[in-house]
Amino acid sequence: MSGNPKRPDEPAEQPPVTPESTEGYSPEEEEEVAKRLEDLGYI
Amino acid sequence: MRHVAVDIVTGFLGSGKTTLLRHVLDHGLKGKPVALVVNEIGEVGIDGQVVTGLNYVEKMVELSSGCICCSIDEYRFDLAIQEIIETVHPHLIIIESTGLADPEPLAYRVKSAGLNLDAVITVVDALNVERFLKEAEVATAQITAADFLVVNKIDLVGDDQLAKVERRLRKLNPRALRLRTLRGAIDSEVLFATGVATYREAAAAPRATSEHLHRDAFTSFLYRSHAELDQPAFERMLAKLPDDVIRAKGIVRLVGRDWHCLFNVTCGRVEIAWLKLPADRTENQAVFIGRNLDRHRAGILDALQHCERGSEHRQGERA
Repeated sequence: MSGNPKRPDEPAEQPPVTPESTEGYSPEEEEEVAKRLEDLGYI
Repeated sequence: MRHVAVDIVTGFLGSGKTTLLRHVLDHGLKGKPVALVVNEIGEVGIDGQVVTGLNYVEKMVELSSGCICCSIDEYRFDLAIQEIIETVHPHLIIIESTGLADPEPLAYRVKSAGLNLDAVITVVDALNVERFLKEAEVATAQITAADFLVVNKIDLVGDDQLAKVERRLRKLNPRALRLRTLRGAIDSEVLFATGVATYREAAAAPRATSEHLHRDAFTSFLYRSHAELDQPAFERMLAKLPDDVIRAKGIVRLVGRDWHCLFNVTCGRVEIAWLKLPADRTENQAVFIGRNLDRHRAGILDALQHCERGSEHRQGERA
């Protein structure tokens, strides 16, 4: 890892993001989730 | 199916928020499933505690006759967001706050509504920012809350004044990335959540990198593996990413967790969300975007490898 110092300002405490399960999703809905993840750059 | 990212665009009165949004909606975000929420001026208390009066514009015009046109409190904010998600199915929601709003409470509301806060983008009027900072505390709050500071109207100030403004911004918020613009025309994909996909594509096929990605001087690289990661080690790795890493984003599996971890790092601010996907989806994937990444790539990948389950055995074998 780089030797850069840690940033001085820690993120404030935030409420957790609601978890989401794809259990029970149809293949089309699972495909939509995958498209979202792709569009937002996660995958 | 709520998986939606939210970007907040803020900035003092007249700084150029709407101009910036018009530009990005017409260029980088054109054709993307984006919902734009505009917070009407005059509907927000100057103390910025409550966001009220959300209206839809642009792609949301058809919803303007709904209940969200009138003033809404926090509860109705959640309802309005829910209605947007269910009606329009956006992948990204952009909220443009008024010039007098403190973005921190709004960011908190976004998180409380169960949404992923991607970034706080603050537009700064290079000509008038010093005066605003003297006259209104909220101008400081807008700058300190930012992940990205878009310094606008740079044609209205000389080089010396611009340098002075940037020194002031850096002092107020050393974490944020500063970008200069003229009339909101920004040629970078780094600001909004959906732009990350462009850098991911560039990392996957470097030769095909578009000209404007070269111009903004950011590069990217990918991490892929099938190993589960140790959560404490992974969280420490994210917290220690070099300042040159502007964004990092991906989906990983952590030891002892049934759910996949979606992580998003924007200028040092780490957001984690959880998503349960089919068990056969085992690959970790992540993209790192920033400056001087040729200096950091090997170190980051090595740190990730040390997070992988079984890495302690490999380290033992190396010793």
